[in-house]
Amino acid sequence: MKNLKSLLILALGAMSITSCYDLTPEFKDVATSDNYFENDAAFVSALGAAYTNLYNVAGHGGLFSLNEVSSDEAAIPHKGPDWEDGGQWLRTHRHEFQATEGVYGNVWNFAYGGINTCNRLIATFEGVDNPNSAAFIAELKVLRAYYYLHLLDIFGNVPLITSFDVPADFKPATETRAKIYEFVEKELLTEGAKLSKEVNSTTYARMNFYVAQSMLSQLYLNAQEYKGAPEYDKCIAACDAVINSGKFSLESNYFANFAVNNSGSKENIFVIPYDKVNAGGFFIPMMTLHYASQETFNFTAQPWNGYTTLADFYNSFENTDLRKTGGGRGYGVMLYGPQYNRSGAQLVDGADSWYPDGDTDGRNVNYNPVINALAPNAGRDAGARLSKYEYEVGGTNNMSNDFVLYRYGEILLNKAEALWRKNNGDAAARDLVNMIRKRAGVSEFASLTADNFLAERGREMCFEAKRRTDLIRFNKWGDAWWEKPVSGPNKKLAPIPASQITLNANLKQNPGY
Amino acid sequence: MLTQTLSGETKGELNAGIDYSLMNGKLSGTLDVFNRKTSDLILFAPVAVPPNLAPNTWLNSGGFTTNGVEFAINYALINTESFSYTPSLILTSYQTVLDKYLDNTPRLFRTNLGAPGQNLDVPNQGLHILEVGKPIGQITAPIWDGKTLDNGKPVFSDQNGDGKVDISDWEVVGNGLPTFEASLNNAFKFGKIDLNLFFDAAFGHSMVHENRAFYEIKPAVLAANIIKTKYFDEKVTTASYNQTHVEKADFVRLNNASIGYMLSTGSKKYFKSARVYASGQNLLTFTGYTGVDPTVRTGDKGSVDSGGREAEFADPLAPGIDRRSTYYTTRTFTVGVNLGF
Repeated sequence: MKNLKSLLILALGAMSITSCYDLTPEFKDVATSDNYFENDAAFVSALGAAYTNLYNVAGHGGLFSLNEVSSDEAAIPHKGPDWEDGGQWLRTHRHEFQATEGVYGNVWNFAYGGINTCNRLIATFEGVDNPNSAAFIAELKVLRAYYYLHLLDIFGNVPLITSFDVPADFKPATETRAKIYEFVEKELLTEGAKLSKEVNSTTYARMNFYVAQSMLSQLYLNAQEYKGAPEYDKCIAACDAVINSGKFSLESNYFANFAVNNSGSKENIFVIPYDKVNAGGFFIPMMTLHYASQETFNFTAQPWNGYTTLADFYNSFENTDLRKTGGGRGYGVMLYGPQYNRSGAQLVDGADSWYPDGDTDGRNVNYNPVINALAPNAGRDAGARLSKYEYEVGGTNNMSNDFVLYRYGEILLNKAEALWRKNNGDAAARDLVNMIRKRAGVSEFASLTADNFLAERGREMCFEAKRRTDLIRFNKWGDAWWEKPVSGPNKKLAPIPASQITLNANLKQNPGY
Repeated sequence: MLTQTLSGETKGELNAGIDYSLMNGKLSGTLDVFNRKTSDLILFAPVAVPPNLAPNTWLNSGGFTTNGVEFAINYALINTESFSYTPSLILTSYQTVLDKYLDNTPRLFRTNLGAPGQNLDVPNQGLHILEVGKPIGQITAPIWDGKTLDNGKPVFSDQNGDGKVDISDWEVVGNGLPTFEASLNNAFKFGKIDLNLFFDAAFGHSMVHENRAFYEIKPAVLAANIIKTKYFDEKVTTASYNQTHVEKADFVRLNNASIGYMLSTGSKKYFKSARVYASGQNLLTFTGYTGVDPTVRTGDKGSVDSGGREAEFADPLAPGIDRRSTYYTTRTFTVGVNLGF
């Protein structure tokens, strides 16, 4: 026993001796910016973080909600116990914008989260000794310009930050909208020119030359609003760079662009490659459909019964318009009328006892395009629903469809509009719009007016998060519609989030907030 | 590169106590007074974007002070050969006051009701209001007179009289933590019969009855049953959180009772002693609270909705929320025999 004890003491002593060695391991396989960026695949995998930020676009409460719910093509009615949410979506629709509203903080953080990530990666790539890094830096700068384009469009006057290495207490100051415009234009021109002109699976859902040109077409089309001077010729040139490339074309079937598997679309120029398993965040069926519609599409999750479109927007479609009928797909950009489950029985609202005025078919779920009221007791099944993107039968709450940010159809309309704004009688402008109308199976326009142009753009581009910008450009943003009263010109810019102004005294609030 | 230095939280604690024993040990107990000061709380704080990459970061800030007293008394009231009765009572009272939160944040709202969103506008409103210099647990709500409705939706009162009804009209309508808590154990012995009654109680706390806030209205969400308590009013058709959903939750509960009988053992061949007993848990609750359980909720694990899950850790800065995920407490009866060998 005594021997055993001494043995133990000896062993402990031995251990304490060995522990004197420095045990800091030297790893041979750690990736650093010195050894990691040896091939293009390494750059692409690092780029990912700047793109995955885009998955915030098409969910609820972010960019999509801000641009759609404030427009005349979508609203979130308050349905008794559902969707009051403190009145924030009613205020958004009625243009009673408040700086404290969560949605502005979300969009701000989305855009600057993307910008900061681009800045971080640019700083990393600039330190890499690899001739290929320049192309990836250019790509990041164009992506950064994409985030700035949203800030320019929504908030207007925002800080411009292009470097990652800043002191911790750095409080960037607000720059004018004109300065942000200038920056975005410069970046798109100089950096966009360096980007690949290849359009293939490698450049899919990434910045390439044509995405930069598409962004320029948007920038120039809205230049009057953004900087106070029109740039229609430059807009036409940017559109032509896309159109004349021959790399894109109108899909004969409009809905091919929005199918569950739309990655083969010849029309889509830039998309967010959502995936229900690996890249979630695209929730449109959850956000819009009635709870019971779960049985129509056999979703694994129950929808939330939120977003609807407005009766006037619904009525802007002709009955033969393929975008309304859906053609072979069976449903168009809006879901309306009685709803059925997969065995053909009409869906029933599970609620016990309450139906608002005007809901004549009681518990049956019937998406009546006419909504009785925006609040507080909108009918639970009132309003046509947003169904532009194909619903996957048996799908989950996340969609696998890729969300379209730019497509050829939009570029045609951008060019048409620039031509038309230069010359109201331009036949080429009318013909471009008629290409869109022909595909939709409706008669061609004899001439273009502001009203028929905006309405056509609405039918074509609905629920692609562009309507807010379009209404502003057509001077319809301040008009009254349905339950939205006339709103003042300061509402063209969103308020800078109050939470950010609290944290950064150098930020300036937009006028009227 | 932005860096923040983060350190551990600091806690200073001062305790004073007396253990006493009087009347030859018939009366005994303890008296404890404590003061606990916690500072450098690790909080998830909003930061400016840009320059920060993400809108929140962890940093040391804030603190609170807790003062409390605990008094225990144990009294062998009757102690004879055939009958004994020993009551023991514990009384506890404490209060926690917020000393500091983040710089430039003297007050903020905390926690929300959950989906579907009612009249709460997250993050600008919440069920709790944290205020420097005020106790933790202040439950806040808009005030409804219980009568005025607009299309079935409660119309809130303009408490501050500024001509509009908004968040500035919300008031503190209760505290989620009790003023004091008590537990009383009564041990009786009549010859071979032993009886034990254990009561616990809490007074002064309020509770947000979330089930009522969501489902005590005519159009229940989906096919859920409508909740009908004494507060039910069928004219209300729109769920709108207000002070009527915050109830006083004082309670006294017979938490445990057991009765036993010592059998006389004729022979000690197989076992030395035998006692048969019956006991019950959660037997009787005296409370005006209409929810399933008035027990103090010291922290909040958040709402479980839209596929969300309960938080792993309860938020101690948001006590007194009776979530929809609360499950019924069980009443348990046990019958048994104790054998001594």
